Amino acid sequence: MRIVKETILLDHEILKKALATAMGKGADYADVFVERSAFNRVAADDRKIKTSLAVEQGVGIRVVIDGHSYYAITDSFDEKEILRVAAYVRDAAGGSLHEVGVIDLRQTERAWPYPFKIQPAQADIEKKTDLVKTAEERGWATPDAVQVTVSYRDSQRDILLATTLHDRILSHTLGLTEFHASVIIEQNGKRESGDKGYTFYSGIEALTGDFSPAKIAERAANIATASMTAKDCPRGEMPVVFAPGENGILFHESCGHGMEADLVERGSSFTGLMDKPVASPLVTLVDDGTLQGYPGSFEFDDEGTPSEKTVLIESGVLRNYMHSSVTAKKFNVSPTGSARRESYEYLPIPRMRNTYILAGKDNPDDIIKSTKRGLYAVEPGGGGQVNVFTGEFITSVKLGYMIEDGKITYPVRGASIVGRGIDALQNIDMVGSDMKVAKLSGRCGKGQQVPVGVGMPTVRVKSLTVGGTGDAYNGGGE
Amino acid sequence: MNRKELAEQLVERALKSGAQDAEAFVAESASVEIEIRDAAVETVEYKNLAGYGVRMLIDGKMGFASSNNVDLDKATDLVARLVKYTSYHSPDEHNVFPAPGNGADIDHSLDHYDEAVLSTPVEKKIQVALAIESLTRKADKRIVHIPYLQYGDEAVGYTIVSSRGVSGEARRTDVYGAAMAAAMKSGADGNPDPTTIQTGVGIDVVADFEKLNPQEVARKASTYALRMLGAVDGSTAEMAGVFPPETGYSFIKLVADMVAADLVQKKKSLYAGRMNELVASDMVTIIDDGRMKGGLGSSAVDAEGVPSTTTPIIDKGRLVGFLHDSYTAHRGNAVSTGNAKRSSFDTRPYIAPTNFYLAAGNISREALMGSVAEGLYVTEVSGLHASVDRVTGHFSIPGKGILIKNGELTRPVGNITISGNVFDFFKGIDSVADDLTWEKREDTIGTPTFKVGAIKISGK
Repeated sequence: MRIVKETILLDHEILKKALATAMGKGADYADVFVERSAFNRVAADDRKIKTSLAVEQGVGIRVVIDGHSYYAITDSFDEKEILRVAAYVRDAAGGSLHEVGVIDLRQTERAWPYPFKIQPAQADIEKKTDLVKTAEERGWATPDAVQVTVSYRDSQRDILLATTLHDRILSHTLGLTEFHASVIIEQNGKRESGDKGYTFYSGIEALTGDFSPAKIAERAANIATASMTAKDCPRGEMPVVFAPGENGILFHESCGHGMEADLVERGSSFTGLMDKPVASPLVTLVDDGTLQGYPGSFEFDDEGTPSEKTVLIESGVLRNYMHSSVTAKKFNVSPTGSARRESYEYLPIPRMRNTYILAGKDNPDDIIKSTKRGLYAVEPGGGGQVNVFTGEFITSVKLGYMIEDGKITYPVRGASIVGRGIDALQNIDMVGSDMKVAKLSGRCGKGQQVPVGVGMPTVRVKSLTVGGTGDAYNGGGE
Repeated sequence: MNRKELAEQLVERALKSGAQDAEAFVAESASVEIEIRDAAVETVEYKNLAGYGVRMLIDGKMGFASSNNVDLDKATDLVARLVKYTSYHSPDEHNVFPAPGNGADIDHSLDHYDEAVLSTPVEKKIQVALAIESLTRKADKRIVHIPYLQYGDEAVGYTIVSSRGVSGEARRTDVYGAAMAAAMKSGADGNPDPTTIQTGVGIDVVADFEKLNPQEVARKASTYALRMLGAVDGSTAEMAGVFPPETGYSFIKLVADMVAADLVQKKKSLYAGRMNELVASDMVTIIDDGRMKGGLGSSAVDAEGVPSTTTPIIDKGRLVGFLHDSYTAHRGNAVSTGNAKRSSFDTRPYIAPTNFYLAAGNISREALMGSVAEGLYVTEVSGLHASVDRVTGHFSIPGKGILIKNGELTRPVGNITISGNVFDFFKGIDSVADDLTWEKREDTIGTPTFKVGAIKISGK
């Protein structure tokens, strides 16, 4: 058992006074979010090592009245300044002065183990630099390498939250270790790149075994090398088989965002479809904040609701949306522990955590074998996007293979996949048994950037529009 | 302590800790953001932020640290830690701080700052936001709801002081209104049919509170949604593409990103090693002008304190310039073009455009359209920035458009992707109209309507 000494960010009496002030004009509830963070970065780029270091602190105070939210922040931990901001938000929210009862907050004991074996803020800069150099060396060992970029980032965010929503004071430490490598190679004047990265809700100890810096750089190099012989992906409508893991970004974009309740409220394509079929019966989709060590995980969300595994689609039927306290009240349901903030600078809003579909019954090899012609999408490209109102989404394929007569044939590169969320979900006709959740690199952006995980088993969608740079795809049949 | 005093103190403490040269960047900002839903306030956020970034130079190594805790004792601790971090850097002879001036004058009239942004009460800003919502909703009976409605403003000031004698400051204000309109056709029962939904986004960004134009936001949002009503899935084809400013913007922005000298020097840009080569058709002239009076991307000095300049990038198709900061200028034997930017005090300077634009041609938009026998008027593209391969230039992005037949807009089409290569795209530009239009998002980009001879479309 490891004992970690906690620093008390702010006197609990100040938090109670701030809440009493904020509640002073008849708010439904109020919260005070206190954060102190440290960010470290080591990068190798163009054969040069660079570091950076940042420390930040702040307090965000929210008042909610009838579903309307008022928010202000300060970077000061001084009692007078915090009470001034609390009064400012209270007055902005309007209403009339109002008797406030005793603010009595229970302190909640943490149930999750401390996420870091080695605290990022304590780990030595020399150790971090060595990890980056190891990956850099592996990158430059790639034949025909002309550029290698490696980035190590960590963050440690000590959070203290006082809320009248749950009448609690909670504290925990969020934070990430992120590692990314990119290799560019050049042959006969033609350049190709490959990159690979992962995000962990744990310390530097995550960068071992399969996730050692050298392994990560090697994967990036292999993608660049394979892309060099790849042909331009054909374009048109065709069956697409997705490899397991990171391609789960397909579900993040095609349906995940549309099930975030603030977007449902605004008329997303999943509005009004509760308990109705929205996907093939083979699809069960969950959003899970309880997978320890994964980027979208935490014990409780940024307004103090415990995290959970939320079933969004059950055997093709829409069962739940992702809720904050504000949206849950409007929908008359319980919040799902999905309220997240990028930092104290932001209001909490419904967000995905780790989103994946559950394993099916098909043998992954059989899925390929039973596909006459189509695309096998292996390495996703730089993220995706969705218009949640029309349901139109895009994801990309950095590297894939064409399938011909049930066999994987030549490599193809540079395709994007577009479609409408519900159409794509209903077109899923095979789901493999090889489910994998990826510790996705990068961030999901929705006005605020938060880390997320995605996952899926091998899945076949019987028809999708593939936008390749190659020739028009002239049919593949069944 | 004001910004300048704090910056001077930070530089002094960095030098005392062992830095050979040091620079402090101190920034303050105040912003308000309002969201409206169903004709009522949904959220109001007030943010006042202040903080600093310190760069120090020791034996050719350039370290960077930042904090929003302006307590001087804490700052002294941070600077001491930074000395240790800096020792792990690789030395690089091109790590330099700019000397004062690059030949250009520091012209403070380039800073656009409106005191009214800070002094106007929030109630009045809420009224503006409500007005935009109402105008958008009432623009047409087929507009069924307004999924997004935002008003926001920001006042920013920053000061840079270095041990090399730079002492500069700049400030600006931005005010914006943004609306998304959702339109539907009526179904057989007379009610809006959700399967026909189309959305349009209208944005207006200005420097002065009074100049924000609610009508313009509403007009764009409603027009962009309504013109796509009735769209059918497009077919796989190759045809002429016409790009109005709302979609051409993405392509000009891509050039702006790729001509940053650091990407070029590190061979991460398509334009690496192509100086003085033809990279676009002779219809294409692109300029970055940091000294444009009234330009939303103009400022007196950049984030290293270097005065803004005017930089020709592509001259009649020929690549003639890159955007530089002090590092890339030293490395490339050039002069800084004043393009260093920091999105906040906690980022190192990076290269970004100022007012970056494709120069207007001399035919009208109508004449350009009239010359198209068969083509696609591209009304939406998304994800270009993420999709394009920065090494090969290949891209493949989702789009929407309206088919053109003999110069006339005919049927709207969706569910397509547009693909190609950035070089081929710019070499394929065969016509540029005279309707230069500015769009400000994170960068300020200008473009007229232009036509590309042939674009690849994937669909059914």
